[in-house]
Amino acid sequence: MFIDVSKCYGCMACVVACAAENNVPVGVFRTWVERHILPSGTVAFVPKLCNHCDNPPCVKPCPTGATYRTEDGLVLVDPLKCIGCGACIIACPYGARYYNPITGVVDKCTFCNHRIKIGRPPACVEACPTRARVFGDLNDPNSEIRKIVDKIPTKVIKPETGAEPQIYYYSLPEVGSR
Amino acid sequence: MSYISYPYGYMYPNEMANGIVWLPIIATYILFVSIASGTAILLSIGVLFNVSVLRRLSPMFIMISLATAFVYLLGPLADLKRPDRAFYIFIYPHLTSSEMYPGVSLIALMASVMWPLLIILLIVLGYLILWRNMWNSLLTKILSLILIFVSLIWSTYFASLYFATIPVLRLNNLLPLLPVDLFLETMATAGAVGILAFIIHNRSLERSASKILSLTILICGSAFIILRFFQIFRLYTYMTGSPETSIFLNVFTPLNNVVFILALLSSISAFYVYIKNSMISAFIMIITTILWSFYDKWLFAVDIQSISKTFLSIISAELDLLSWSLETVAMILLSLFIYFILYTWVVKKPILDTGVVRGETYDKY
Repeated sequence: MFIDVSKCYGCMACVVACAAENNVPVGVFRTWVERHILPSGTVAFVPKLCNHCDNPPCVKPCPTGATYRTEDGLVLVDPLKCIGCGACIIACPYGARYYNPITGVVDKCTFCNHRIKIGRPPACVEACPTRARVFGDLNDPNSEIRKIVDKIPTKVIKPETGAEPQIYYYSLPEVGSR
Repeated sequence: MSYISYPYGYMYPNEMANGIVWLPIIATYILFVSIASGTAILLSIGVLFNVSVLRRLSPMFIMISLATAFVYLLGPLADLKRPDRAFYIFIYPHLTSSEMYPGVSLIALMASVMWPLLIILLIVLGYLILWRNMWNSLLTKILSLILIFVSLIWSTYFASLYFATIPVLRLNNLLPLLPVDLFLETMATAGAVGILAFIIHNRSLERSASKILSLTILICGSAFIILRFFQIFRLYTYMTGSPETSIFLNVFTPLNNVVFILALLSSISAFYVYIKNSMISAFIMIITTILWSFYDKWLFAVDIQSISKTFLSIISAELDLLSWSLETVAMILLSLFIYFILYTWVVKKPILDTGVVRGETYDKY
């Protein structure tokens, strides 16, 4: 996914759409929008979500294999195998995982896997009024997202963890890159 | 429209919801792991180097190690959000790496391989030593060598878990000698619990036993103080300035100072026990050693978790200490019960020079 921070004006449509689409309980988030005040005095809104890392630190500690990586590069949780040990929550550098208080197991962003299977974009992408979020297959050289990422200088969050995150940000302020 | 507010500074909203993920019972769990693996290491050292005092203490070490090893997985069980699925760790252990499941889960390895291995080795060694009198045989020595290897992995497990699977904290950079610290604590704790069990058995402090166990505590305590001091010194001198180090030191220092004092008291009292064989010093040594070990484990199992992954704030979570106390007492009582069963029904061997157990006389070693 590509996120253009300069286009986000903090309407929270993505957060609401995600919660409605995926029955996300109140108080926890699959995606959220951070509001940062820049040194210049202006405000930046930084949408965040699971980075679906290429080298996901959350998959390794899972003792039962409930967390796994699909062929498409999605990092998902099998709610029927999760024992709720919390190792993945502690391992995730991005705070993208949470205990679902309803099911008692770990939950996270799936990139709306059920939607992309039928050719629809994730709910957060569809709901964004400014097209700040662009979703697609980074492995496909003809995809819109590949062309954007190749053309525009992008940043990822916490590359030093070695997780190889797959959310590419444009115009990401330093204060929001933690 | 109201935006997410950050009452404790900048942290991820899910961190606010999750709070402390691993509950305080994990500190009790690691303490039990230390007792089980430490006594197993003392037993193995006795077998490998044919130490006569350790040989005479071997029934006690086997019983302590088994009684705690049988119980300690109840700690993480109490911490699971879905304890009804705990057995999945044995059915679907993530032990091989593949495209779909990259890496190997250390938690799965320890629970589904190392835990049964520890128990099987202890039972087999116990049988060979206590019933077949094969203390000096090659088979016993080989099994002891394997037991040392397994126990060493157990004793440093929590450090390995943080180092290998939780990259965000970078504890390997902040405290690179943490595995050694945990190993030293393990050996000291095993020595303290060994002396405590010995006093309960014999209502006295036998010189040879107290000497070797207090020396173990003295060496481990002193080494721990020196190693931890140099690591903290390194953080304060060479690694200051980054938000990671600052927040780590903020969270780490208060309880670490308590740990330092307890380790120092433990070493001083161990020295007194070593030279004077004093019962009061022995009790002070036992209490301070167990507290030192426990608080250091609390530091890593509980306090470190309160550092936000943004490294810009501290998660303030209310701990349910009543539940933790009850769970801890339950684990202690269950391991005491297992120890009692092993002592009265299974092992039925004297500890050191006590030649009579329940009216029956046994051969002294």
